[in-house]
Amino acid sequence: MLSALWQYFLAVSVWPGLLGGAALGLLYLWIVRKLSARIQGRQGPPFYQPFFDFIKLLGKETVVPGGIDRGLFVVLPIGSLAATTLALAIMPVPGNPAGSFQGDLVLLLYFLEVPMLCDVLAGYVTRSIYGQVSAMREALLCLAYNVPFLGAVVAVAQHARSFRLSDLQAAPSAPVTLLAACAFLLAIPARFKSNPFSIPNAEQEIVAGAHIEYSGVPLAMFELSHALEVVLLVDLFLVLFVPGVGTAGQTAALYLGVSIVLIALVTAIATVTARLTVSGAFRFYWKWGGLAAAAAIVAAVMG
Amino acid sequence: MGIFAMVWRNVRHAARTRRPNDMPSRPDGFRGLIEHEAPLCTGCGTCAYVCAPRAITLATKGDAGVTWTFSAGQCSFCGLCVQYCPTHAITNPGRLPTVTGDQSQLRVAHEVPSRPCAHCGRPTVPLPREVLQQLYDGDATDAAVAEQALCEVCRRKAASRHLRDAFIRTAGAPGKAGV
Amino acid sequence: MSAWDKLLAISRRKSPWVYRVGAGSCNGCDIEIGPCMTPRYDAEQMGMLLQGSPKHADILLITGPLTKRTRQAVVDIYAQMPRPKAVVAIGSCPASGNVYEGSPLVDGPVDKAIPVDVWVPGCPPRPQLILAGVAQAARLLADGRTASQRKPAGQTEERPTC
Repeated sequence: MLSALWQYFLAVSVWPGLLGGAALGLLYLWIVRKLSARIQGRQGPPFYQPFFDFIKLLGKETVVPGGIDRGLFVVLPIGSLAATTLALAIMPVPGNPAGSFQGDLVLLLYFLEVPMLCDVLAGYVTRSIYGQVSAMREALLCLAYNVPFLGAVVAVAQHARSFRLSDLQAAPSAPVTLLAACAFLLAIPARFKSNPFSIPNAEQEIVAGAHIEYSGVPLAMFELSHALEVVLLVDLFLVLFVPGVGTAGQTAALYLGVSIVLIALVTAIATVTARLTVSGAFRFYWKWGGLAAAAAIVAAVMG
Repeated sequence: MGIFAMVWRNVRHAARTRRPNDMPSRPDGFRGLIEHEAPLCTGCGTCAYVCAPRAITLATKGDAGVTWTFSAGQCSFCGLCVQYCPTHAITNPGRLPTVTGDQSQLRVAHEVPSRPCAHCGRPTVPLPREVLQQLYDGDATDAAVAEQALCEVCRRKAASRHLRDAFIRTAGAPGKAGV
Repeated sequence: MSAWDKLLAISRRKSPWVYRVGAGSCNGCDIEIGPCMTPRYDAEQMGMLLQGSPKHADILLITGPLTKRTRQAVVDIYAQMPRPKAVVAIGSCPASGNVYEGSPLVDGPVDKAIPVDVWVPGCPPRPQLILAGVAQAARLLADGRTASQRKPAGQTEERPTC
């Protein structure tokens, strides 16, 4: 057996980390764009489009605005990418060489907040007015979507009586699983930053949001980090709410199928809805998200 | 629930997108790039006069003739030159322009050479033969054909001779060129 | 060319991200750029995306004769685009000023301010011609034949301090 260091290195760099996560992320991005195009009656981009977009961004020069903190400007996308890659490495998906450990759920939740913090800081460090508005909106939205998100995760953790991801994965299905899944699904569009909660990157209102002054390799890293975040959230949904079946291969196939259905559902909702205001999203999440989270936690405590 | 019906219809049917080789055709009378036939041009300058963006220019080269220049990069595609050209030298077949990296490819220059007048020898741009046939519907009179290569001064003299001959019958051959 | 350079060239051809600026245009050409994103012509099938920030774009679509008021903005926007970049001049106004040539408020053809790689003639050009112009610019980017790529390395460019 490989030593623990090798296991974690493989988990971070190959599967389910950088390379595997990037491949899945590119697939999900393509599904989003192609399905949105088809729903709108358009042809849509070809299969390899997100890959070539990424490679092209790597070949562009980086134009750094004058008078800003260059160190922070460059470190933020690296930090965002590192956090999502490390978070992917500790997900107990089939084929992960690294094992799950006690408390890795808490570590995962911390890692999940880093991309959001990096986006908020990026909005402020570039000193662009659009970036600042986007950063403020993203921070507010984070306060909103974390109500159902954390409520769902805490409910499942309470149900499994553990903070270890493999225990949560193996926990038997119960009514709490369904309620927590509903709460989690409510939070997903806001975490993906897709309609009706595409408030931080509202192109028609704030141009390009927090990434407006980024170009070249830092922008490529931010885009990759966003793709990995999508993979991470889909993986979390699968790990928490989709039971394993039979062999690892069958579980992997089931996971892939459910993930594509989930992405298609989020895309369909995104294509047919319009954007809410920040206060509207806040109200929505604290009312309905709060109700769903409360229902899940009550079911977990009682069960 | 019209939105769901629309989404379902869009997803089931093929996309409405046209492929690059299947683009919508041009409507009838589409104003594309103009065509200029130098053999039909008399260098009158009407097209340059009506061209608002000054895409058409006529430059005289002394006694050698005129040069008709057109720049597609300056054209508004309004069609006034086609409408006003008296000899129909400028036509609109509806040809689409093409993209180019080099602006000089958008310019066209045609020479309209002048010839010496058949009577006085002064260099002039004569009435094109095809226009003559058009004017007489293919049935030009001998006198008209003989006067085709005259300059405007000699043509005026020939016209006033025809007028005199029409009113005053004289002995001898009427309408002989050069009398 | 190494394998990475070949891959980069292919990716530049397949992923033209576009930013549009109107240098005092009558908006006829801008109205024709809009349908390029609609289902009939679908620019996304060739990878073209409209970006909100010039820093995210490869290709600048410029319309309108260069008015004195927009001149500095056009120069600033072109300078903010990261290399390699291409410029597509849409319509006849950027090429010559069309009917606005000679006006005291118009500052001459656009290539007096920024280098232009592709000219798309028309008043306004049809959307399929605009897409052909963007595809041509993407090919130039892939081949390294745009004005920004032919400039020798190290030559400084006027950069705004924004």
